[in-house]
Amino acid sequence: MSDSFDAMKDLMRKKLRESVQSGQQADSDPPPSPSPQQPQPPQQLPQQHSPQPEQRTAGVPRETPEVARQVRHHMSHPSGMILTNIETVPGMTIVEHFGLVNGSMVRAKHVGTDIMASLKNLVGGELGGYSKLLDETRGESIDRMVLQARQLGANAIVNVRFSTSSVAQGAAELYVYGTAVRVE
Amino acid sequence: METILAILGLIVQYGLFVILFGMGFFVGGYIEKRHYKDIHRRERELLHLPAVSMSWKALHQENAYQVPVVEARMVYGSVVLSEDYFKAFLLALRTFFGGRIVAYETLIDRARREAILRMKAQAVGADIIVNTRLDTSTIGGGDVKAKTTKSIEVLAFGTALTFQKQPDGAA
Repeated sequence: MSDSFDAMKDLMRKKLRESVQSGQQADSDPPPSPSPQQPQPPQQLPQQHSPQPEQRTAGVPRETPEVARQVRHHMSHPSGMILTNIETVPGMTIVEHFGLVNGSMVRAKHVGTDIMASLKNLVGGELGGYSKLLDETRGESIDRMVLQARQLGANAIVNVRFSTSSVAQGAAELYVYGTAVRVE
Repeated sequence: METILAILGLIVQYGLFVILFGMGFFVGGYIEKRHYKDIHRRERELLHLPAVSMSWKALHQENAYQVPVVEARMVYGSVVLSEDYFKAFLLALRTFFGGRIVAYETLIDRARREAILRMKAQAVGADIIVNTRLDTSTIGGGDVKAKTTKSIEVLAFGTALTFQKQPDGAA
């Protein structure tokens, strides 16, 4: 599980880099050649889901914010998975349901952060260490959920919900779940 | 000699409390005032990006929102805020006598608004955030008797939608 998870993360990063480079510097730089030991999975990403994005950029030069937004469209998550917390993906139709997917993670900060937090507790204000901990953990939980949905062959997750609970002093459990679907 | 010792004992016993109490009142009050100022400024800047709690279906019934959507993605923001010593003292007092705890109302209000602002900051370029949900939880303070860090975490999440730009620039 953890091996495939790491491989997945590497793949995500690489695709993110490639999509940004091919989207923004296609005129100047040649696209990076994909490394041979990382086979690309079959693409079911929403590249051709609707003609609207193409209409928007017709005749527009490459470096506009419009294009940057276009690139982001395929990058809800670095893997290309579309995440929403409503029942549908607006502008697309759901063609297949795969059921519930979820990801969870329990993490703790080192004791220095805990001590800093208890000092900060005297004067109030934001506990930056804990904020960062929860943010990172939430991101990783989403990665796990996306990995699961990908293994099912989905290209979007709808109705995503979060849940937080503290399992022990200084440790937090982040749970995220949603319905994996295929949209077109 | 004995009275001096008694006074010294009193200072050692209550001095720390007084220092922490004053620090909580002055520094905590200053932090809260500065935070509210910051929140008001950022809320004004992000007025063009409303966060609504309706689902997309309900919103789509209205005439103003029949434009095609070109992008839908989930955005979220979270913040962990801590009480200060003065607020904790007020809470202890209030739980004895009962009544409104204004100090904690402002704390939670600040956390919620900050979380929504952070969520909006993720939705750069979007036109609206639908189905906004807020989730509050306390961390690190499970046991009431234990004098541990009590802090609240607020998570705001929703779906950011970008509409197709109208050719004449009406939208």
